Amino acid sequence: MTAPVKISSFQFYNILFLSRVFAVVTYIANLRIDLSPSDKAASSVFTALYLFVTCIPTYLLLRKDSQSSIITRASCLSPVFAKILCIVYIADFLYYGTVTAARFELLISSVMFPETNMAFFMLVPLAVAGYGAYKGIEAQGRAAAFFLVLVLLSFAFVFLTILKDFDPLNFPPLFYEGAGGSAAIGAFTCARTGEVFSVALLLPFVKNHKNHHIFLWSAAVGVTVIAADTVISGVLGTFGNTQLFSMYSVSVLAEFGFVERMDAVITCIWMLCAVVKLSFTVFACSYLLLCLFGKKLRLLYISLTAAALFAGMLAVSSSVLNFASVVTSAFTIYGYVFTACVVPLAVLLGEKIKQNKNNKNIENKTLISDSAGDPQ
Amino acid sequence: MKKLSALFFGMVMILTFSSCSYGETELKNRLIIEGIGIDYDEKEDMYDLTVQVLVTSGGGSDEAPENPAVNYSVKGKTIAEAVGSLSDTTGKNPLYSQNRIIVAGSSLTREKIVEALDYFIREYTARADVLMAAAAGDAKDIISNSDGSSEISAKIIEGAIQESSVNSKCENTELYNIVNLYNEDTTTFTMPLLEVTTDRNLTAKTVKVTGTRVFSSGEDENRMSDMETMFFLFVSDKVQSGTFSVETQDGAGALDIIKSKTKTKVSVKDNLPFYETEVKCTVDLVEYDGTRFGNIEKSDILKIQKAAESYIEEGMKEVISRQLKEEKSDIFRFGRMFMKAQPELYGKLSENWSEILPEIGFSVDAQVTVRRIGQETLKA
Repeated sequence: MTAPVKISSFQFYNILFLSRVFAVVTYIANLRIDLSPSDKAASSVFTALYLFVTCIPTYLLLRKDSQSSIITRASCLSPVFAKILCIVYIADFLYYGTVTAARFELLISSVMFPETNMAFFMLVPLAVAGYGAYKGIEAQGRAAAFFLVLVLLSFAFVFLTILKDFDPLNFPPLFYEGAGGSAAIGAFTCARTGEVFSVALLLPFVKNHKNHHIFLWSAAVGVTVIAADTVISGVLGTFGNTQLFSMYSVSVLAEFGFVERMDAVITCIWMLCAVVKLSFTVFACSYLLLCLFGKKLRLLYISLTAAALFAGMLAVSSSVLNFASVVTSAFTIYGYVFTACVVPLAVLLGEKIKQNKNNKNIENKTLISDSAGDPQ
Repeated sequence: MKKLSALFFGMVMILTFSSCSYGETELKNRLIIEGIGIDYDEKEDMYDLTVQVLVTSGGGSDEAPENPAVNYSVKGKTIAEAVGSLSDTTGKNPLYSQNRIIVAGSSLTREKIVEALDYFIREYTARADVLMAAAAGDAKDIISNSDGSSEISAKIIEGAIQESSVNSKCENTELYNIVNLYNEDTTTFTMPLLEVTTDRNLTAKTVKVTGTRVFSSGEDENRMSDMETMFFLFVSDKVQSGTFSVETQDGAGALDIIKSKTKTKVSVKDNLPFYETEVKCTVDLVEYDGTRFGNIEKSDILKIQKAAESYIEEGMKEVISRQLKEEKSDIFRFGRMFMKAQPELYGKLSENWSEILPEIGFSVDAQVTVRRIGQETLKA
């Protein structure tokens, strides 16, 4: 597939950043383990560390070649391997996209419009996401640059106005019941960063990719996660554990003078991140389908992906129990480790083996030619 | 084609993106709740809700409604059931986002309050920062009380609590604070105490903040007066401003609190926690009943400072002693501070915290600085 339009490295990571921010604002506390506010804040430090570490395989991959997609590189090793990778990536993207759409639906149906039929409502963001994917990555990059300003302003408003309610007594001693819970939650939160594996995948769409940007991006995500968790813990205390969407609950408390009750505006701004994430997911899936089938039926692929996400969302969000079992499934963490760490390392290893083989062949050929040329 | 599409989608948006579109709840079908009073009928084992609702009809007509708010009284085994019967009675859906206050009647025990609050934590239109207060008698009397003016009583009560909070006569307690304090194993939560008072001419009744209700686990009701509340706020580092009077040998002085900062250090003495509380308070002298006008002497100011320090120290000692030793209530979050300072020892002591409270040692120290003396002159 040719990549006619490319975006800058900054634009690319900006899309990934906003995409990950949606996971921050729809964070559901204590879904797996009951953590104290201190341990919850500490779990975000673990998240940042894990994220940094799991970016290393992708970085190593990029260091060798920062132009070609991981699919192209895999197909050089084995076309079958490349096809399998495409399927794995599609499954991962569909999983993350479905969970995103389901979280989005749960957020709206729990805190905004519980009386409205969300099935119809969710068609709108998915249609917008499909349209965004159809317009291509450049349109997404431009929109994301504009959204970034709004999202950062909303965070600044919430964090600065809520500081007066920050209570150090909300933090019990760190790891009072051991550090295991924080470490585990940190891993699960990190596994929600499916954006990591899209870096190696969508390189052909990035102009002059700067390899170190992946670490800058992981640091930006880490800082955002730490800041959000610290504010949630310090302001809401254990009340945060009782709330489905604790970031939303924080936004409800944010006010400054006569500027109050801004939660509706802030939530709308945060929803832009969902549109970016869904749009990016649909775009990535359509690219993978294009790699898989070769035929240039982009509009069909986009429509199929959006329809799959819609169907998945309907199935997952039909009951809160379905939702809980899907978002807490082991697939999250295994899928993440596999696609973010194992796959890049496997490609690197495959390339190394192939290179060694080639070198050996060249050496053998040289030896043969040398021996043939030796007049004994 | 683009223009046609834009026109089509524009028409779709105009017709559908409207608050009055089909299927949405219109404003006239909403019960805009201003205040809620919760009482508990022990005989029937039912919650008795008094709900103050804004009158939305007549807004566009020439005559404004006589009363801006109307009160409904409903009962139910659960809050949801009571609210459901309110909807049945009025044919409207309740909207809690404008709710200013939830008042708990004296019939509600600590456990019953927690039960009742679950509904407001789950309800999507309710806000986590709604004010919480306790009634000295029935919550119904507080919510339905009207001073005869056209003001909504819930709004007046909200204003009274906020003003009293600024004057350090009560703590501004919001819903999420109650949840937090309740979740702490050793802490006892409190709420501002409201009482219906009658004026001298016995004509108008008004709602007044008279102190604090402490939700101890004991049978007897634990209340603090407004002055006790001020000392409780001094210990808890929550004093914003306020006025208090002190007496010296030469006269009485009234002091306005400008700022106050409290630090509490936790240590261990005889395997028990020991708290050292230090208050640094800056005040302005606003009145001095000496023997003459003006020319207040430096020695008088020093005496006032000393008297203010003793006053704050004595008041804090009294309130700490009463709550820890008599009521066995940790309203100061001492347990929480101890947990942070000595987590291991806390783990051993926390199970019997209320039994340990009377044994806990403490010391208090206040440093008061008179910053200004008003427009009258000083004799140095």
